[in-house]
Amino acid sequence: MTQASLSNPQVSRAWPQKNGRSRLGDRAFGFLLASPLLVIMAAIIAYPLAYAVIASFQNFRLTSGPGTIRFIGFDNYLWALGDTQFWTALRNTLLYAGIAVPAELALGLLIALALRNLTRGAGIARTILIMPMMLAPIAMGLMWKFMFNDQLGIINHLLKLSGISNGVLWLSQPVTAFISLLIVEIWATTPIMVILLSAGLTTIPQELYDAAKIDGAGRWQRFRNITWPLLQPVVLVALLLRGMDAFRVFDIVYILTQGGPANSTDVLSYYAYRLNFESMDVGRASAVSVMMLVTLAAAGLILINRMRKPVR
Amino acid sequence: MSARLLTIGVALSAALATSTAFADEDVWFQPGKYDGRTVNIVVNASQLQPPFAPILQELKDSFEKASGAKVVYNPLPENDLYKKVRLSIVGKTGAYDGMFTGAGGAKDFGLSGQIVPVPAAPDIADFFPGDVSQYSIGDKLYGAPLSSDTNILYWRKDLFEKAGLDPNTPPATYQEMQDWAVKLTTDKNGKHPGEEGFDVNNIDIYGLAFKGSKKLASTWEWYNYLFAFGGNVFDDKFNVVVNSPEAVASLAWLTENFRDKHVYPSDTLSFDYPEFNALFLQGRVAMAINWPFMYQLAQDPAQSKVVGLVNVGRKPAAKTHAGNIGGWSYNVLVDAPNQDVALDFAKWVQRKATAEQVAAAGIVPTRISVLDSVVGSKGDPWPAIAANLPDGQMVLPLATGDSWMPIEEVLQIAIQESLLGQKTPQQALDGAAASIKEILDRNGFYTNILGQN
Repeated sequence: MTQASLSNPQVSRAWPQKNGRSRLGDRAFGFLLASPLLVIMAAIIAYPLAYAVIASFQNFRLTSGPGTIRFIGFDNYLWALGDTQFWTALRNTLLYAGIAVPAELALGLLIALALRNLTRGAGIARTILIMPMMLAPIAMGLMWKFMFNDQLGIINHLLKLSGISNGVLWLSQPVTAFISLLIVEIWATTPIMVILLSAGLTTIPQELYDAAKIDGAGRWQRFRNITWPLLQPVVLVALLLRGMDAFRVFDIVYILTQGGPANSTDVLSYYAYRLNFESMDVGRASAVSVMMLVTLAAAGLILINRMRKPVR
Repeated sequence: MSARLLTIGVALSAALATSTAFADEDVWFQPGKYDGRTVNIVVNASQLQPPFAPILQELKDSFEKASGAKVVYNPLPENDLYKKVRLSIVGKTGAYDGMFTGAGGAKDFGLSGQIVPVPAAPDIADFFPGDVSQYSIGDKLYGAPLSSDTNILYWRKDLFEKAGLDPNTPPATYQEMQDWAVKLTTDKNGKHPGEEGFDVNNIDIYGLAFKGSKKLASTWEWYNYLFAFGGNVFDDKFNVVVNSPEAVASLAWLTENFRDKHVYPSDTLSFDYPEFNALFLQGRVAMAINWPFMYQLAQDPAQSKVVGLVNVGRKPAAKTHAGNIGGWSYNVLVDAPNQDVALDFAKWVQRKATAEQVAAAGIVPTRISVLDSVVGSKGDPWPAIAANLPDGQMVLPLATGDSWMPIEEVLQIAIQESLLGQKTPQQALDGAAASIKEILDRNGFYTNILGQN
């Protein structure tokens, strides 16, 4: 039931008026119903989050002996900010998300528009398109790793066969390794964009297009004045979801490059992972994770505020 | 008559004494009775496949029969094994009693207090001293030695002949190896590096290969060159010396091979073991330094194009023939719920029968007597293994406990920076030395750990 219907006097009259006590009872009952979920959320979200924040202010290492963990203020944050690897990882992460997400959006939009106009075989096309989403990240990473192999990979084989190139050192050179990661990311996640944008496109009334056609609007004008503005809420949601995902990228980097060669593809999640599981420095890893969280939360808030503004 | 009786008496006494000694040792290895108990052991998932699978199966079956306990192997992927076990110990889950770890595991976990000492076999002198040393902290053994390992030199007889080299004589020095690698590297038109018209983008045969990805495979191949050139990561007081002239020379040799001589594949920086092995087995590499397991692969027609074409022998020398040693040991966790059973299993691992089973599977045994008998009775690669094992040195970063993996990562990056030409070998190793010092200071190595070694 909407807010409008509740404020309608006729609708309100249909419901018996409640006194303050029973309202309090309703609220308590509602809280009781929600309490299992609240407990689960506290256990799986709030507790680990609070623990990570606390750990980020401690000299906490996985191998610390009992009684040796102590509060060290902002030392872990200052250490990370003074570490060149942190800045390399941050730069790479921003570049990664900054290139991958707009590319996925553009590609996703093109495919979604093409699918909308497809009269036959749209179902099959959609099924094929979402196949990358069904693959386990590890399997997907390994598959691409072999495809990118300079000596034995299919990509270089085809490049050589077609005479386009003598082969590209996909994972062995800093720039091409980064491009390889982007290719896999875009390949794997564009289907999510397609699904979101396709859903958004179905909500745009056909009448608007029909009216625009009668008014003589061309394809580009219809896209610019109808599709794009009305799709903006969905685009913002898609950017928010995919942006957060891309900023936290880990599996593709872990499998394909391990941050190499020479840290050229290091990203923040992998950097934090190494601090935690290789250096066993929970404090520093937590500090990096908290900084990632704050950055993502800030970016998320900006996008959410933008989503609240009405479409013009 | 009396002399004959005396002789028989002495012989009988000697036989009795010997049999008592053997009986005592057998008793030492025998486990207690643990009917109804279960011991949970973490294993590297790939070791439940051949060639390790029959060894682990025999250990399990025979121990279960002797003790009544049930042995459960918990497979974990190699790269995650340490992390998962460590989390289990820190989280006090009590999920595991023991584990099999690679060369670094015993020192790493032992220095962190996460595993307990295991009983050393009465005939511990029969084990290779290098293995005992790499699994010990002070005078206590933390890993029951399961298998040993050393890198050996592989070379292609047919390609040597084609290049006018003696197929039965490997390069004696690393300089010679580099020179020969240039001769052996051949492009699609039959030209070699340095010749007019040599096509670097279409190389058919590479003189050498190197595992240059950012993984343990990279540093653990480089240690062979580092040690042979007379360098090391630390001196005997654990001062960082990884940027010494000898260490720089070893990295310069590697970098020269890649950047100037073009004797390594162009995508060397993405080479881990699978890529390295595949290229060699496809017949595209003339010489390689690797663990002995690749010899068995090279003889398997199902996966090798170089069956019968590979020779193995002693690695070349720079200042020495030195190289690093590897291997696997069995460890008992500090929070093992069934620690008594797990410790008895550690004894079981040290039986001579286990070493014989290891050798039968084509893996390097840790007992000198078993290796001697195998070398005497079997062909390649055993003589090559026996020739290289005495040159083996322990990889000292293993003795830094939880600093080990971060140090490895620093060195892997330094190798890649040098190979990419982003830094000179000197600059790359200077940077690595500074980072290693920072890691050791931060982890309290000099104050808390060094004294235990």
